[in-house]
Amino acid sequence: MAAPESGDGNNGAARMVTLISSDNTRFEVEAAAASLSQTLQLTILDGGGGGGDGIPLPNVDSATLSKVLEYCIKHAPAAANGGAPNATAVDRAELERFDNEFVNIDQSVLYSLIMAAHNLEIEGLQSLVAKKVADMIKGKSPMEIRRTLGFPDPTPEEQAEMNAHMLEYGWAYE
Amino acid sequence: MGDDSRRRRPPLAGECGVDRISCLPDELLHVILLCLESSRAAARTSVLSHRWRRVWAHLPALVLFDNELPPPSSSFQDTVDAAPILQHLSIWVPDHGPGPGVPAHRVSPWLRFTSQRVTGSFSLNFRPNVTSFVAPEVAGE
Repeated sequence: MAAPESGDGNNGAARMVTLISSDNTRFEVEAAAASLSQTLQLTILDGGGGGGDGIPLPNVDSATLSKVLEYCIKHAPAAANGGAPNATAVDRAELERFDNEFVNIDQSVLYSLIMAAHNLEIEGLQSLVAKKVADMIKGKSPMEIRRTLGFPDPTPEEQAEMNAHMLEYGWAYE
Repeated sequence: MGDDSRRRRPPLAGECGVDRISCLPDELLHVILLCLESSRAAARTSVLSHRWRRVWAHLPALVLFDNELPPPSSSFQDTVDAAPILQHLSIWVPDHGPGPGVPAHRVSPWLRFTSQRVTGSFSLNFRPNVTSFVAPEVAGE
């Protein structure tokens, strides 16, 4: 039952693990992809997730987990090469294209993704989503940020408070 | 440790509006603010709502770039005095740039601020020469 020594993945059967979402959907995925999660990596190294067992993820629903695994599967080969120092420029460009499209999604999905990345400790995914949200904020006035993030229009009281705050934070607008 | 639990605090009731991003825990909003790579842009988010003001006030690290060094105006001093207790402060300044450089009287308030408010590391970085002065860990009060 012990995992193969090493070098699996290239010659045939890669080790697979099963993850179970909060709504009880089972996902079978290569251990190498799931191991992008620091949390899962420990369990997998201990031999968990194989056979009929499966690793329950009570904080991640199936829609989110499916998206998370799409990211992990795409990034696993580069991660296996230790950040891929020998990756070709084409590979890197392809990953970048994938990442850009991957986060071109609704704000509520961004929310679920970054929460999952945080809980599962998938650093690359967490910073990808964080950068996307930062890009939504960058270069915008407070009112534009409010609209982008979906705040309701400010009440007159809130508007007055915002105006006073902007005066107080004058240096941030220079 | 107590500091850590504070940063993990989820939004308080009523602070989390219809927009999902405001509902993220402080810790993740801090990650997002640091991605802005601009202390001014990060500070501007504090006007969004009470929630964002608290997030900015607890930002654990601040990076100031030479193109956005805060003017030594009272408004910046007031803001800094009122807001962050930092774990890390990093300041990037031009080294032998076209300008007059950074006079000592600008640096000394940073050092004073650091000694009072920064609990972790402080780095003062000079560009374009990649020399860096990193102070030893400052003992937290």
